[in-house]
Amino acid sequence: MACEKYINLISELVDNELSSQQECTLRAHIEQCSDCKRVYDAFMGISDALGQDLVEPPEMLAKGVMFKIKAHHKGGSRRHFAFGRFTALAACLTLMLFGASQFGLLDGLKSPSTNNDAVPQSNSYSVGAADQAPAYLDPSENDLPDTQAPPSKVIDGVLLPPPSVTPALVPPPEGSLFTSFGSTFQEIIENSVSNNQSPSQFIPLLLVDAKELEVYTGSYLYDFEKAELEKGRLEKASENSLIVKLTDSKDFLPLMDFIKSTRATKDIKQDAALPELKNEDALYSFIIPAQAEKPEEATSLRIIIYHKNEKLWCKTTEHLADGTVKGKPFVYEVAGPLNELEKFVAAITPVPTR
Amino acid sequence: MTRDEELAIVQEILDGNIQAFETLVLETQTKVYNLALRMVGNPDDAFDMSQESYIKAYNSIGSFRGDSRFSVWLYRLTTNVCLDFLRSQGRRAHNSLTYMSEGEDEKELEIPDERFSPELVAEKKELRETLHRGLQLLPAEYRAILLLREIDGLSYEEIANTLSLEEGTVKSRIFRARKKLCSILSNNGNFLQSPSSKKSKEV
Repeated sequence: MACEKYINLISELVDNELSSQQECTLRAHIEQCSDCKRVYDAFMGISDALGQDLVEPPEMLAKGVMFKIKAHHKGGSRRHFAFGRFTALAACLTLMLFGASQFGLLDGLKSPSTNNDAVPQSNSYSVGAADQAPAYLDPSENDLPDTQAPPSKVIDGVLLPPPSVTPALVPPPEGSLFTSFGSTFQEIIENSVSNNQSPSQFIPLLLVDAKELEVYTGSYLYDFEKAELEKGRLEKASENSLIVKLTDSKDFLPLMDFIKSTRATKDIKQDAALPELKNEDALYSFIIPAQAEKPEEATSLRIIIYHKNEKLWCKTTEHLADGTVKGKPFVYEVAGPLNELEKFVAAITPVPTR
Repeated sequence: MTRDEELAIVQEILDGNIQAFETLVLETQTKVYNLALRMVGNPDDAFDMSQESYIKAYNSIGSFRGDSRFSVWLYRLTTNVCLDFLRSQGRRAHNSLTYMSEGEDEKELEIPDERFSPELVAEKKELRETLHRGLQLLPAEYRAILLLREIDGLSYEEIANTLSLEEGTVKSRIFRARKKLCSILSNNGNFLQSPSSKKSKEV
């Protein structure tokens, strides 16, 4: 084809990479050659479309980056650390696991399988895991003299905490998920107390990434589960009854209180057998919805609190968009008095659903 | 932001002013995010890749020597983060690479019809959507080069330095990427239904 040598140059013309002499020659040719004109037009069209169809980055991108950088910077010099949307899930999971970790549950944790693979979210944390250092678990890193505590910041109505409170939201690559999450989240609370910060200065990372947490009475049922229920394949369960959506840091305070209350209990038997948890045993379900803009593989996290055999139990599952369970459910005992949970629910119930 | 302004901010960060990093993030995030979005193909992973890139950039800002613009350095980092991710996912990259290498290079460019003038592409949303989907069919390395040019505005020389390639390789890959996109557009999304590149058209 006679035009071949020109066609190879058209791409460079589009990119302004030709010398002015080459450009002149080529443009003159394109004027006369309809084939080359079409190629040029198509390349220009592609170029325009790619260069101009720019999507606005999510608002949380810059905030999240700065949030994490500041948080980790506080622990000492700059270092590698991990991040990711699952940090939010980790934080929330931690909320629920908090008591368990520090006060004995950690050792008594039982799951269908005791290795870490049984943890449904474990794979999710792998992004950036190689960068993580166990040093995060060192509580001394979170020490922050009061005098240096930077002020909290409010951005778009979201209260950002001082950098000192977050170094721990990063899971370590190995070891017990609960050790690291639980203790590290505890450090957050501890730090805040030692720094005399009001609890309202916390920002749950949940609000940074996942943006909300829904609390249901009983067992939240996905559509596929409702179908199962109708066919009689599931035990009786309460309907999905949304109590509240937590979308504001102040809404998390009762939840925080509940979590802190779990510290009072530590009598967890190492080998406590797991009971069979039925839907009707469910007290409350916490759902962290998948982000709206997520594609099909997005997962939401469900945390169900059960009351069974005079104890509280927690089951976490990760769900795909159609509600089906991804990975294995994870079940463990929660070291918290039931009345504290009730207090938490009482505290949040008056908050209207938004 | 000029190169000197970028350098001044980098120096501030090195001097311990963490907040200064936000200026760089805000300045570059649209291009970084869109680069990531077109590389990995979905907003969720793009968000993660963008964050990872910024955090890596922050962590290694001491190794930024200023021999390129900061933004160029950042785009390279983003590209590599995305390529690593795609490789680890084993996603598309392998298949499309295979496809592209099987005679695609020798295939002559089909002359696109008049539908693809810049004006029409600008008007027709579905054409652009086909184009964005078509991007995902390119080998990741080709896609990266094309996007560094189209979204981030890097010159061939900058792309070559960024990805440690010869400038001639950059040139030919951009051309081949466009050629492939043209063919995808010409087939108007039916491209996937005729994947046998071995039956390349005799011209």
